[in-house]
Amino acid sequence: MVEAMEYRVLLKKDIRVWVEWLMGKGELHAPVAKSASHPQYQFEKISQPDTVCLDYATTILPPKQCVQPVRETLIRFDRVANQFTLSDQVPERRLHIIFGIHTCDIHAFNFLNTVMRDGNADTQFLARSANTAIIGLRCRQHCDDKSFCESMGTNEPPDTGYDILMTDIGDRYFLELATERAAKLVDDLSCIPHTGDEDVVKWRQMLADSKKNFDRRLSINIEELPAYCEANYHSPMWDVIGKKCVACGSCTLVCPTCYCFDIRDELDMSLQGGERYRVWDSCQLGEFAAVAGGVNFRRDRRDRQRHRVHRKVKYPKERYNLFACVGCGRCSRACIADIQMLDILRQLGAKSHEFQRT
Amino acid sequence: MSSSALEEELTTEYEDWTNLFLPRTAQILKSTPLTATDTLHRLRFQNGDIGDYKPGQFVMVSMLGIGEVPISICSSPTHIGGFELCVRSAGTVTQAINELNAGALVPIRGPYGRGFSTEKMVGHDVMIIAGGIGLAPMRSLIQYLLDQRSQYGEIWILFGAKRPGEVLFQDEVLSWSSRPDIHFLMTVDIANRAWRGNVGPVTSLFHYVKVDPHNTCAAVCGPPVMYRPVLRELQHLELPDAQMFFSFERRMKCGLGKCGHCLINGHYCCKEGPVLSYAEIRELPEAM
Repeated sequence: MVEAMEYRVLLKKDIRVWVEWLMGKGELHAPVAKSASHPQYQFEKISQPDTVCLDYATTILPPKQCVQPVRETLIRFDRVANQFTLSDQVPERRLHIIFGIHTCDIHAFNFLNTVMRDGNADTQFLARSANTAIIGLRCRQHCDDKSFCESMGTNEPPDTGYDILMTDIGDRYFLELATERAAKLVDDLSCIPHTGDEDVVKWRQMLADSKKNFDRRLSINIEELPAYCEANYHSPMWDVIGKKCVACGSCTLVCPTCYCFDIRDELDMSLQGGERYRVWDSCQLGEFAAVAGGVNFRRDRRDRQRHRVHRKVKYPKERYNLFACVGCGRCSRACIADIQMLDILRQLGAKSHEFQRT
Repeated sequence: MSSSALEEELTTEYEDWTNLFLPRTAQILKSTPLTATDTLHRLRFQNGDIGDYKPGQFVMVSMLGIGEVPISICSSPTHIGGFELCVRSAGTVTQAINELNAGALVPIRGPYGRGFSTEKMVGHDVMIIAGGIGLAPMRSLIQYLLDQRSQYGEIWILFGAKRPGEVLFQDEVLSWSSRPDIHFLMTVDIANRAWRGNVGPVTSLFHYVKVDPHNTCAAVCGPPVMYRPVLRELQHLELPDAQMFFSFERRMKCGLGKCGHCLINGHYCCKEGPVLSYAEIRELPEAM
């Protein structure tokens, strides 16, 4: 565990005071319950501090929209006859605060940052990411039976990638301040005092207790997943999954590390000006890898599902030494055909001995 | 106090960085229809040169309001004063490009990707295997090799077209076929009455090829169905894996190794390709 720069505490009843104060500093996104009767949650831009719900099972959509909007302008253009002008899209300079994000999603953010920094730096993403303050939350148990964060090592926070981490220690939250910016996010608010010795003892006890709450759900050595993928490349398991898949793209839509996009043009009503924008895309959709001449490099759903899984636990592991699956279980929850990531990974581990690498 | 403190934290670092999606403006100098569907465009960037590139690299060509497409550069970097693109009308963007005439301005990004390793070919015999529109990027390589002819050994060109009338760059192809320093072999899928040459797939030309495999590099570009049969022929000739270069076609959208469309397993075709040696892709089931 990385030592925080400073510890603070915050009484639960004072959460709204801090949230309201933070709302004055930047655009604050936090989990809210969709409805009281419906135990589902989503990240929303907060306008009422009371709506923030920190005692939440994971959200339907990850908070990646804050750094990678669904739709984003890349360039603007104006054309008159044979002439045209192109204008740049300068990254916005605005503070975003993501409040109450689970550690798995912080890992996912770190992955996205690694990808976007690699090679051709994606400046719009990086600018937005750099100007996003992360106030995370340590989890005390799996969100539900679809989660397997403990197996992927993401129930613990990463070394970097957050400003503040909160831990629920009963009537109050224990705050670990990890960055220079963190100090400015709590400032000298009287409701966020320095910790007493009791708080620290309680916090350490809570961390130790939480560890026990997480059961191991994937009993394979995850470091072997790239090799398991390779061994199972031609396994009939992909046929079974492919037959179930309805190619709706929900799994990638809700994935906190999926970042594929399409680039499209749109003309204004004048038909002279317009913009080129990028929009979330999904490798599960039929035309994703199609080229001219009727050739499609991943025509079958089997191939597309295999590709998705490989993009989570094989390719990024080989390229960045990172898994792009953080075990949040969102894809499994969103799948209307009941394709379960945990099942797939278990199968990969179990079947690896049957399909030897050729 | 604290509000400004947080504002000071906001990074402006990326605001001066180049927007990688912003094209430069090129002008069409000349447009020449080659076949019913293919047009050769000669272009030049308005501000500055295209810069250094390798045969096999591509650019992203924009039709504002319609979209962008990846097009291989089909002229050699040794030819100065512009560059050429051979565009086949296959979709809305390419059709719009082919409706343009000399003088038209075109937004273009790039060049992108990794081209043919011409350094590796120096001192070697070079076999060029092209099918259909695959001749376009290969023309860049052929021109490049011919401009520095003495640096290379034997040059073989194996070219397959669908029909005799559908041959791109006819004059140039004719000049290659009559050069004594090129072994030029051509075949068509469907012959007409005037055709006296070989009929069959491009692989049927390998029968005539005699090379020293260890001193030979192969460069391949054509329709996706051509790759496996050609690979088998090259393996039959016993060319080393690292000396067989394939130019791959994929759905490149960003050209920057980000959008994910062009992945060949875990390899970005737009960034690590489009030219990859067989040594690099033999473990990739999605390559061929």
